[in-house]
Amino acid sequence: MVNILADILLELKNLKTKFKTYNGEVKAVDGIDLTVHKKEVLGILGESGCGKSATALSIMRLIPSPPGEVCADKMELRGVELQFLTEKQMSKVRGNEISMIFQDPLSALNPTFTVGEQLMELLMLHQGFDRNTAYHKAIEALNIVQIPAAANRLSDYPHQLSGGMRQRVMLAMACACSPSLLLADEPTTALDVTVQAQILDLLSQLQSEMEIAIMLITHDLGVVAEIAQRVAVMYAGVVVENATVQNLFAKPLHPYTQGLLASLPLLEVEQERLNVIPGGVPNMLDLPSGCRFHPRCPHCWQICRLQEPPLFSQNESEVRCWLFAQGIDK
Amino acid sequence: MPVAYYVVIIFFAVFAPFFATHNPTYISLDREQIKLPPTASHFFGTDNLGRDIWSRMLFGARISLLIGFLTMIITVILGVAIGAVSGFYGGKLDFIMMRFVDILLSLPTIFLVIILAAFFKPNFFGIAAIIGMTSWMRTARLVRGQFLSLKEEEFVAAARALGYSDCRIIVFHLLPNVRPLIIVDATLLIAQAVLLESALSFLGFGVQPPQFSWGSMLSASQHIVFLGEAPWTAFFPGTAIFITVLCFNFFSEGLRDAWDPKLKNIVC
Repeated sequence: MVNILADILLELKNLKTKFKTYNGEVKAVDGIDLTVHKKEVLGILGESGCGKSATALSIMRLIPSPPGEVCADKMELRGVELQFLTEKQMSKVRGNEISMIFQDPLSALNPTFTVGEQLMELLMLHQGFDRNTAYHKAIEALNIVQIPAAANRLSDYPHQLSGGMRQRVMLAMACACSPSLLLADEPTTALDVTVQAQILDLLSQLQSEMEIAIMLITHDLGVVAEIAQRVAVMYAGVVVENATVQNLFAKPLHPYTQGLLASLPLLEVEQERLNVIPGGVPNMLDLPSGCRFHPRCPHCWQICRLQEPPLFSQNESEVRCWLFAQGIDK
Repeated sequence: MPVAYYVVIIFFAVFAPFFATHNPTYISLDREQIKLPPTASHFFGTDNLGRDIWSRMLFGARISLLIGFLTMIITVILGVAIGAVSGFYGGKLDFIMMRFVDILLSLPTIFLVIILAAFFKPNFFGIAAIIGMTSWMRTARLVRGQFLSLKEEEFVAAARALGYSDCRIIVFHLLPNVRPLIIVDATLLIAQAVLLESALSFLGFGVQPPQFSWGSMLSASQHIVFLGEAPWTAFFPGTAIFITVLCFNFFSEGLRDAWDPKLKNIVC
C-alpha cells in the first residue's frame, strides 16, 4: 500500500465536467479526485451515465467545447499540468503518454484503411519511423497483442477481423508508442464472454510487461474483480467509494456498492429473483438534495436529505456516506 | 467496358490528327459536298458547310473532354475543401459558408454562367473555370453532409485520442471515407459540364469558332432545316455526348465498387 503511494502517475483534484444543454447545465462529472499510480490498474465502476466516460475524455481533453466545459484544481500527469498544455503539446501526449481504447472496436477503427496502414501511420507520426521500420514495428505490436500471423493481418481491413481481433488491434495501436497510461473505456462490453476473458488477460499482461497503468472504465463487477487493484465507484458524477479490490468485495462500505454486490447472482444460493437497488439513476439536470443516492438508499436518514456527505476515511478506504461520519448521532 | 470506351475515346482525341480524314475546319465551296450522308470518304457525312463530321468529332472530343475534366477538377477541389471544412468544424463557420452556398444555389446556374461568359469573353480554360465556379455548391453540400455524420464516428474520437491533428483527420481519415461519393459526383460533374458547355456554345457564349466542341456541333445542327435534311449532323455528336455521359456513370459505379473495401476480395 505504501510503496505505490510514492509514484503517482496521474492526479486529478476536483475535476468538473459540465455540458450546457437547452434544458440547463448537466454536471456529468462533479468534482472527483482520483489518483492513478504507476503500473496499477484502477477500476472505475458505475452505471450508465454516471460520468465514467466523461472523466476519461476530460483527461484526454477531448470533451467538445462548446457545449462541454472542463475545469479542475489539478490534472497532472507526472507533475505536468495537462490543462496548461497547448493543443499541439496535448496531441503529443495523446497516443504517446496517454492512450485510449473504446467500447466498440469496429467503429473505433477507420473502415477505409487496412490495419497495417493505421498502425504504421501512428508509428510514423509519433515515433518518426520511416515506412520500413514502421512496418516491422507494426508486426511487433500485433505480436505483443497475440494476433496470430501478424504480417498477414496487416493487410486486412477492420471489417475482416472478428470482434476480439479488432479489440486486440485497438490495444496494439494504443500500446504501440508505449504510453504510461491507458484509458480503457468499457473495452470488453461489446465482446462475448470468452473473448472478454482473453482481452482481460491481455490487458493485465500488458500492464505487467510494458508497465502501463490502466484506468479501466466498466460497469462490470466481474471485470473489476479480475484485473483491478483499486476501484473507484462512481454514482451520478461523484466518486462514492475508493477502495482496494479486496476491501471492496469483502466489505463494501457505501450502500450503493453494497447494493451492486447484492444484486449479483450467487452460485451457491438458490434465488427466485435477483436483488435490485430500487429506483433509477437520478436525472442529472435535477439532482436530489443532499446525498445523491438518498432516494434509493435503505439507510437514508435526516442529514442525507439535507447535506451532501464529504469523503470519509474508513480503514484503507474512502467513502462518501454519512453513515461513516464520526460523532454524528443517527 | 466503360474503361475500354474511355481508353479508345481519349486515344482518338489525343491522336486526332492521325485519324482525321479531312481538315476539320475546311469549308467546302462545292455545293455537292455539303450535307452529304455518311459515305466511304466521309464516315459520318458532312455538315451544312461541307466539313467532315468524323474529323470534327475527333477534334471536338478534345475540347469537350478537356472542359469536362478541367471543370470537374476545379469543382471537386473547391467543393471538397469548402464542404469538408464546413462540415468538420460546424458551428458559425458552417452557418456562414452554407448560407453563402444557399445564395449561390438560388441563382440559376445557366444565367450566372452566361453573364460571366458574356462579361469576360473567356477562352476555353475560362469556360471551364466559370462552369467550375458555378457548380461546386452541390459537391460542397454533399461532402459537408457526410462530414457532419462522419465526424461523430468513434474512429474520429479514436484518431484524436491518438493525437492526430484536425488537418490530418480531415485529409487522411475522413476524406477517404467520402471518396466513393466524390468520385460518383465527379463523374456526373464531367457529364454536366459537357452539357453546360454545349448549352453555352449554343447560345454563342461558349467555345467560339474556329474552335468547336461536340456541344457546339450539336448546337449548330439544331436547325429545323438541317435536322430534316441532314439528321446525321445532330446524330453523331449527340450520340457521342450520350454515350460518354452514360459511360461516365458506369465508370463511376465500377470505381466505387473497386474502392469499397467491403466488396473487395469477393469474386464475382
